[in-house]
Amino acid sequence: MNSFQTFNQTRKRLKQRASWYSLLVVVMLFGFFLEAYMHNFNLVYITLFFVFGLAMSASPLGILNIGNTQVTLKSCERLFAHEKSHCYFLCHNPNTFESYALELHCMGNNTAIKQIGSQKSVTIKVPILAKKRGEFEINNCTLESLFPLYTIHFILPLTYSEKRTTYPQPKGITLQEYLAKRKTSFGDEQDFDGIRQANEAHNLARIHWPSVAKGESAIKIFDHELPQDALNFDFFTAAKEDEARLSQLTLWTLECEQKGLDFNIVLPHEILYSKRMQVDEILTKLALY
Amino acid sequence: MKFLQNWLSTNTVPSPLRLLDFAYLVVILPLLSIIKLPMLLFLLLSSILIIKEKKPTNLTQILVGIFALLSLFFSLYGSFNFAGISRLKLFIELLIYILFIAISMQRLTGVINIYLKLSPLFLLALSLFFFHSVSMLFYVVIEIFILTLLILWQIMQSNFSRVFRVSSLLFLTALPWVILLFIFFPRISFEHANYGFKGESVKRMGHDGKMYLDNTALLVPSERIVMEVGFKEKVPKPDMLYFRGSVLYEDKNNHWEPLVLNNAPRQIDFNTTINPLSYKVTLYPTNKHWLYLLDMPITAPKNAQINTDLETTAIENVTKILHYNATSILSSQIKQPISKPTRRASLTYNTKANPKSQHLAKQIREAFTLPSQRLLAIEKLFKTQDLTYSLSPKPLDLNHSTDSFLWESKEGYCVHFAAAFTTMARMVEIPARIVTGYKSNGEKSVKNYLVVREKDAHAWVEVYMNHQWNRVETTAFASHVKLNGETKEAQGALSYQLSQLNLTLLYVKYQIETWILEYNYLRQMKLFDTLKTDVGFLLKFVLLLLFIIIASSFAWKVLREQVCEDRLLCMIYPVLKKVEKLHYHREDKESLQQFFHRIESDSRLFQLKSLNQLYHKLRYAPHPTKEEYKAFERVAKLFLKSF
Repeated sequence: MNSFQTFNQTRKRLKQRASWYSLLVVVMLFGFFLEAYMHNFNLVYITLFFVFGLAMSASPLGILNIGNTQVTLKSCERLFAHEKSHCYFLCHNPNTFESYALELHCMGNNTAIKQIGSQKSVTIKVPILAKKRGEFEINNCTLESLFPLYTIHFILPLTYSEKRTTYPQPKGITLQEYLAKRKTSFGDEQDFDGIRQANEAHNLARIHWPSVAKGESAIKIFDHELPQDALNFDFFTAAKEDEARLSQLTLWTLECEQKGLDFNIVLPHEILYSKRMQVDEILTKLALY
Repeated sequence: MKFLQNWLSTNTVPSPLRLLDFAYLVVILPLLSIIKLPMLLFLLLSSILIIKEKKPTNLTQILVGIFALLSLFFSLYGSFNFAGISRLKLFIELLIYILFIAISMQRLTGVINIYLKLSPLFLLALSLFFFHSVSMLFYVVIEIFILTLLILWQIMQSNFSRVFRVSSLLFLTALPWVILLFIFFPRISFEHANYGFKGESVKRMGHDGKMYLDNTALLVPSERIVMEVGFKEKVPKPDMLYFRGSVLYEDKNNHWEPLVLNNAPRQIDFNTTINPLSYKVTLYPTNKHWLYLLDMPITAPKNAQINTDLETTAIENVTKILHYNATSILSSQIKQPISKPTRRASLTYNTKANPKSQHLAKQIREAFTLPSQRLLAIEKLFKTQDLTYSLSPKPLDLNHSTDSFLWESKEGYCVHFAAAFTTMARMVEIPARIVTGYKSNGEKSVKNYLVVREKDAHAWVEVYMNHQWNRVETTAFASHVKLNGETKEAQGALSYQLSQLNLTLLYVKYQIETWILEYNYLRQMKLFDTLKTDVGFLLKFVLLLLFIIIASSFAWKVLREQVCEDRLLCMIYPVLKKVEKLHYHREDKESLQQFFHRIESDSRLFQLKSLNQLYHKLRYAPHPTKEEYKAFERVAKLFLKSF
C-alpha cells in the first residue's frame, strides 16, 4: 500500500501530455477493432489488447522512470551578458532501476541524458545565454522524457529558482592596447621622485649633477620608474557610455585576473580594490551598477 | 558478411535502420508462406541490394522498380477477373505487395521516412487476415514482444540485456490488461465473418462412405488427427466411443455401399432412460459431408441433419476446420421400425457366392428358430474359426469373400470381419448392415479431451432383432492380433512416454484453441452466466485473476531489482545490507575500507576484518584468480550465516 501511495505522490509531481504517437496508437486500435469486427479473429483481438495494454503500461513505467529523479543546480560558470556560458546540474536517480531517455529543458536549451544508473548521479552541462547584465534567474527548468514508448510526454517541473549574477559583456580594447596607448606604463615622466646611488651601468642622462658637484655619484629617480602596487582604471575615461564603460572594465578585470595583476577601479561613488575584494565581487559590483 | 556482423552485433546500440530491418524480418516471416514466387524473388533481390549497403544509382532504382511492377503483375496474374476481385483476400494480398515494393524501394535509399517506420505495424495487422492457428498465436505474441523491444531499444540506446529486461517489464504489465480485456471485451462481430476467405486447403480422411475389401481399401493407419472431442466431464468408456459415419447395405463383391433410399430425416424414439451426452467436436477438413457423432446421435449440429440410418451429414462438404456441438445417447441399441426396402436390403446376399458359408447358414437356420440363437451360433462360429486380426492380411477371393475369409485366409481387419459377419447374418435371415466411422479405444485422451486419428477408422455391424438395431463388435471374435509384426510391448517405454507427451501437447493445443482462438460471443455469455450463478466458479475465477495480477507484480518487482554488474560488488552487497540492518550506515564520502574499519570493533562483526582484507585484495589485484573469488564468496557466506 505504501508503494502505491509513493507512486501516487510521484505521479502527482509529473505532468503527462499525449504525444503524436498516441494518435498513432488510437488509429491502430481503431484499425485492429475494425479487422476484428469484420473477421472475429481472436488473434486480432489479442493484438488489439496487447497494443492497448502496452500503451496503458507505458504510463506507470514512464512515471517511475522520471518521477523520482532529483535535479539540483550544482554550479554555473561566470555568466556574461550575450555570451554563452554553462550551468552544471546534478541529476540523481534514487531508484533501484536505471532511468532512460531523459531530457533537461532549461532556459531554452534541451540537453539529452541517455541513462542514469540506479542510485547514481550524472552532471549535466547546460548552455546558458543571458541577454543583459544584472540578476539572472534560473527557473522554468523541466526534466522530460518520452520513455518507454514515445506515446506519453512526461514532464517533471523543477520547482527551484536560483538567482545568479550576469556580469557585463567583456568588450572593448584589451589591456595591452590600453597600456600601449598611454605614454608611459606607470606614472608621468616628469614626476621626480628623488635620487639614489648610481653605478656605472646607469644612463648618464639620469645623473643628478648637483650631487656630482658635491662629490657624490647619484642618479635621478622618476615616479614612473617605481614599481606600483595596482593599475587604476577610471570609470569615466574607460569609454563613452555607461554600458560600454562597464563592459570595458569587465574585460580589464578579467585580463588582470588572468595575468595576476592588482588593479583598482574608480567608480563614481566608490573605488574597487582588487587587493581587498574578490574578482567576482568586483564583477558583481559592475554587473549591478 | 560485414553486413551480417554489423547487423547481429549486440555490443553496440543498433542504428535505427538496423532496428527497422529486424522489425521487418519479424513481420515478413509468416507472410513468406502466402506470397507468390515472383514477389518472393523481388524480395530476395531487394535483400541482396540492401545487404550490399551501397546507395543505388538512379538506373538501379529504375530497374528495381520495373522488376517490382513485373513481380506484382505476375504474382496476381490469374486473379484479374470478377470472381477473384470480389474477394477481400486479393485486396489484402495486393496491399501487402504494394507495401513490400514501397518499403524495399525506400529501404534501398537508406533514408528512414514515416511509412518505413509504420509499415511493420501495417504488415503485422495484414498478416492476421491469413492465419488463425495456435502456432500463429504464439508467433504473434512473440512478434509483439520483439516489436516492443525494438521500440525500447531505439529510445533507450542501451545494451540488449537492459532493453530485454525493460521489454519484459512492460510486457508483464500489459499482460493482466490483455487477459481482462480478452475475457470481458464485448465480442461484437460482422455477421459474415468469413467473407472472402477460404478455409484450409488441407483435406484428410480415412473414411469415404464406402467400404472396400480389396487393395483399394482406405486403410490409413496414420497418426493424423481426424477430430478432437471435448466432453463436459471425463471421456466415456472405450466401448462407448463409436463415432458413426456411413451405414452400408449393398454388397458389391469388392466393396459395400450405402442405401440411397435412407436419406430421409430420422424419426426415432430414443430410450429416454439414458441421459444424453453433450460434447464438442473439432473436425478437420475432410472434403466429405459426414460429421462424426457418437452412437447414437440425437441432436444434429447446425447446418447438418441426421437421417434414418443415424448418419449425420452436413449440407456442404467440410473444407475447413469445423467446430460443432452435438448430443448423443451412448447406447449400442436403437429402437426403430424397419421399412420394407431397408429390411429387403439388409437381408440381401449373393446366393451364388460363398457356398460353404451358405451351407453352414442353412444348418444354423434348421437348428435354431430364434434369431438370437442363430446370432449366437454365428458368433460361436467366428470364435472357433481361429481368426486373426491383421492390418496386412492375405488377399481374399472377392467372388467368395466370406468363405475366403472364414476358411482360407482367416486374417483380416475390421472391414473383413464386418463384411463376413453381415453376410452370415443375412444368410440366417437376420437383417444386418455395416456401420463405418471411427472407434477410439480411449487411450488417446487426457481428462475430458479425446483425439481421434485416422488409424481409428473402423467398421462394425448392426443386426436387427427385437424391433431394434443392435451393435455387434465383430473384431472382438478375433482369436489373435497381429500388428504388422509389432506387439504393443515392443513399442517400449520411451515410445509410450513420447506418445503421452504428444498427447498432452495436443491437449494443450486443443484447450488453447477452445478457450482462446475459438472464444466467441456465445462462450463469453456462457462464462458470464456461470459467473452469475456458480459461486464456486466465481471464486475460482476471481482467485485466478488475483493470481495473475500477483504473479505479474512479483515478476515486475524481480525485474526492477537493481542489477549488479560488478562481480565483487554483487558479492559484497548482501553483507552491506546485513550490516545496515544492524544500524551501521556508511557515511558520505566514506570509503568501504574506512567504513569496515569503523565498525569491525563490534563483536558481532568479527569476520568483517578478513572480509575487508579479501575484498580489497581482490579489488586491486591485477589478475585475481577464481580461487580468490571463491575464498571471498565463502567468507561472505560465513559472515551472513553467522547471523
